[in-house]
Amino acid sequence: MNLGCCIFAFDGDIDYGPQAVLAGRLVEKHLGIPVSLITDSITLDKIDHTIFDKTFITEGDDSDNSRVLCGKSIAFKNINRNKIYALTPYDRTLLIDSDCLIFSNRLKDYLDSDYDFMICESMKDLCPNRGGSNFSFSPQSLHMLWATNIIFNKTPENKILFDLVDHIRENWIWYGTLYQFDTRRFRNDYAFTVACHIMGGFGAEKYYIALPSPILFNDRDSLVKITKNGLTWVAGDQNILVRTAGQDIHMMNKIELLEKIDSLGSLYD
Amino acid sequence: MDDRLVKALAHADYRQTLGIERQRLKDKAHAELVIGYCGGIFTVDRTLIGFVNSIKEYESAVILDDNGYPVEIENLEDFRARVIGTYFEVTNRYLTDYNEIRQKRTAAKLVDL
Repeated sequence: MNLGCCIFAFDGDIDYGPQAVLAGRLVEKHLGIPVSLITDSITLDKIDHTIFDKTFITEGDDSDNSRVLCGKSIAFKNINRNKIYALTPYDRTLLIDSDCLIFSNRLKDYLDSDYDFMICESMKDLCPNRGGSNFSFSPQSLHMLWATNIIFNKTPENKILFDLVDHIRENWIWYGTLYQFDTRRFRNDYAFTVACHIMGGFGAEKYYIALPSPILFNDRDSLVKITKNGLTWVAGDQNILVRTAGQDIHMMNKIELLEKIDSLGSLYD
Repeated sequence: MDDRLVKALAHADYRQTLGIERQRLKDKAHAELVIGYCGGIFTVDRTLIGFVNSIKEYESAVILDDNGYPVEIENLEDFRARVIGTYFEVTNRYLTDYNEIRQKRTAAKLVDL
């Protein structure tokens, strides 16, 4: 069975290409598996893509999906994530977001396991009393899964799941009403949560196995020092000092991620 | 600002950062104590160590992994060595890191600033 990682990157208001290069290099360093990039020709032309095992050009999405990041509304080109099932060149694929930075080999054991579908159940937030990383759509609805990291095999069941994600996206308002989530923008996290719920027999059993939780840094957190020994952060409005070392990170402050990308690049040398 | 309050706030910052560092090291150690073996996922803890030690006389066994699925362990001795080796490796590293942060007496030193 061939094994590898895939990353999606479509430049828009934010350059996702350089993030994907960084994320890909970190995966190569810490997990030792090949990485492929799924992108559009505009993004591909702007980056050094030689690190990638394979690159796939696909249509970027032209939806008006957007999100608020650092106080600004930013185009969010994320609606074609479920196409990974058809696009991946691997039998077993680790799919990560381009802002997910792998600094440990924790996922290696999960990649080597027999489980067909794995996804993050939560993120770790180091700051006390800060919500947002571990929540449910509503008190009566589902606990949200994070599509930041997914490991899957090409199986008939998983094909049904990825096709179902597409169906949920096409009927977003209806599923939002049914499952009581915010429908103002499309989120893969929501779509995969609902798809897993349906695929598990509407909650009769878990369709997925939980992956380890990366540490979440949101768009109010700032990375202030980068060394081989770890990263130092100032978190949130309360300016709490936090350090990470050898732990996987989901860095939602993409603007700062881009600003610090050269320094972060020194960590995979 | 009153000097007494300045000192108290500095100490509060220190304790807050120390608490976060302790939690971070604990989370890291717990994550590192999860191993993959024969296709299953196992958390190495004292219960698992006690169990694999209690079935030492067997060469192979079916053991339930973290998700409750049965995993056939054909070489139980190798599994036992991996479990115990992982436990000591991770907890020793945890102790070293923990002792290191205990000696740092300011928030800035704790986060390597």
